[in-house]
Amino acid sequence: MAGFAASIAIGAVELLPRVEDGIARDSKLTAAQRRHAAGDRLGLDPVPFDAFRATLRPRERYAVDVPSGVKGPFITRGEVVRAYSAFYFLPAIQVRKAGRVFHYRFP
Amino acid sequence: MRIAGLLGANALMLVTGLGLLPLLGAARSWRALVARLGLAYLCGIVLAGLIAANLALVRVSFGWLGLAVLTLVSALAGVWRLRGTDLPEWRAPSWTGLAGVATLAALLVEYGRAFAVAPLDRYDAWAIWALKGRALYSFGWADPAVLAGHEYRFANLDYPLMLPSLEAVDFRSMGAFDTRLLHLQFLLFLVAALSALYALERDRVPRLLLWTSLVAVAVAPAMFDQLLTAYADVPLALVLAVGICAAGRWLLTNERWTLAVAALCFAGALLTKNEGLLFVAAAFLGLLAAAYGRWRALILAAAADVLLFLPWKVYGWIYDLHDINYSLADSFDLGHISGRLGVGRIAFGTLGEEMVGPLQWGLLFPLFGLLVIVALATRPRALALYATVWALLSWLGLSWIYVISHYEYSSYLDSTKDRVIASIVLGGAALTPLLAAEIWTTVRAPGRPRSAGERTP
Repeated sequence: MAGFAASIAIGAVELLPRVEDGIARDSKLTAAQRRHAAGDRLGLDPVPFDAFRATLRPRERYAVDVPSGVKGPFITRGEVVRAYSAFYFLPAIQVRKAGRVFHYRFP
Repeated sequence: MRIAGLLGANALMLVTGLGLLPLLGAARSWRALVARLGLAYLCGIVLAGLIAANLALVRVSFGWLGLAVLTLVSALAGVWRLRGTDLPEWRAPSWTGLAGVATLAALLVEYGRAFAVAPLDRYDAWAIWALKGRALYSFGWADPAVLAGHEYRFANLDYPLMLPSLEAVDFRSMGAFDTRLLHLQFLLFLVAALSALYALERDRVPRLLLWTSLVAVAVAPAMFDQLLTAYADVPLALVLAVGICAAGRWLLTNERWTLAVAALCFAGALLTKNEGLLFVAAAFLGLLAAAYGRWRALILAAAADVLLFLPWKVYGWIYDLHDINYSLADSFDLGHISGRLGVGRIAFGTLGEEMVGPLQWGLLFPLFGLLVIVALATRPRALALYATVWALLSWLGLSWIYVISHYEYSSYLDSTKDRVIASIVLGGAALTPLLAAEIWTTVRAPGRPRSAGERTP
């Protein structure tokens, strides 16, 4: 009992202020900021993503043209862009080669 | 009214679970159904998830219609099973219970405010889980153009589909790919798991201890932080913890329904994340060690889990899906292993530090460890043996993954260490009240046999 009570005390002191901070921060996000939250976290420019997405149809095949970029702990920046494109452009389908190509260059 | 769609789908899952409880043997009368009400929601979520994930493999979309049919069938079957049985009686709730419910409700409402506005911005959340959920929502099934597509290998395509399938059910229910409200489903996992743990332990554990343990689980900083990321680690941990607890109760009481609930939750864990296989295999080995005389029941439960898991493995074989992080076959690559054996010790120690770090999971794991030691030294050894074997094998298995992986170990460990241990911590936390209650009972009446189950083997 005492152990669980101590655990609750630690959690309450450590966590509850953070919860309030998170609510205050995230509740101010606009729809556009929310839509680009993942890309913003990665430091990607949202404009080319939005422009290309507006031209895509569901299930349309497209390819991604992006330089490899810097290597992170697991994958390169280019691979991050491919991954983000795969998520952001759904329900269009990313393939290796296609008539439609999304070009992205790092600033 | 997307929120109404999300909550409506979850209400149907709750009713599905209510119908399922009599079929699992968890409620043999209306009175027992009310007593075990708390189990219904999680069982309903897991059943809906298992069905949606398996139907997705054979081109069947599971949305409002599927969920409504499942709910109707489950409810009718449950009502049929309970016809003519004892009706529930009104019993005034205890002050402890009211205080526990009020505390948890206040906490979950506060969490709900945060979950309702959180952005989907963490890598694995969008690159793995929401991507698959959206693909299932958009295409209606596990279309290999995405879910086995070469360009989508980064998305851990070999991870099973229960969580994305539930996300897809939510998107269909909301009528949109809503990455904001999606977070609420993760909070609802916590609600379902807490109520399930309450239902499993309420007649074995003193109320004050039980409610305190549930609040301690809910208020652990890592619970909030990790659920909010919309990763699968905590949903896996919550479903597994209920299974671990149900199996622990089965050891003590030998009630068949508890093993049925455990098997259902273990199937959910298997179809949530690859690590589920490690944790579930460790649980069955722990159960076998503690109750080898009941091996037939365990084989039956394990076979049911294999059957539910098999379709996904067949899909993986057909489309040649492999884990991009590690391969178990590398355990036999002596050239690779010999150079990385030291990683195992480092990983084991690092994961241990994460589990006992109070700023992550409070004191949940130290309390579990302490009670296991006390229980091993006193009387309720079956439960303690099961807990020890399960936790140690899981811990060692996680550490081994860092040995066989080809990633640079420190980066891999740093990026995953805080979340992979969630299942061990929460599984242990789910067993802690049972262990405490058994120790207490033994200390008070040392000569008395605990129950039919406890005498086994």
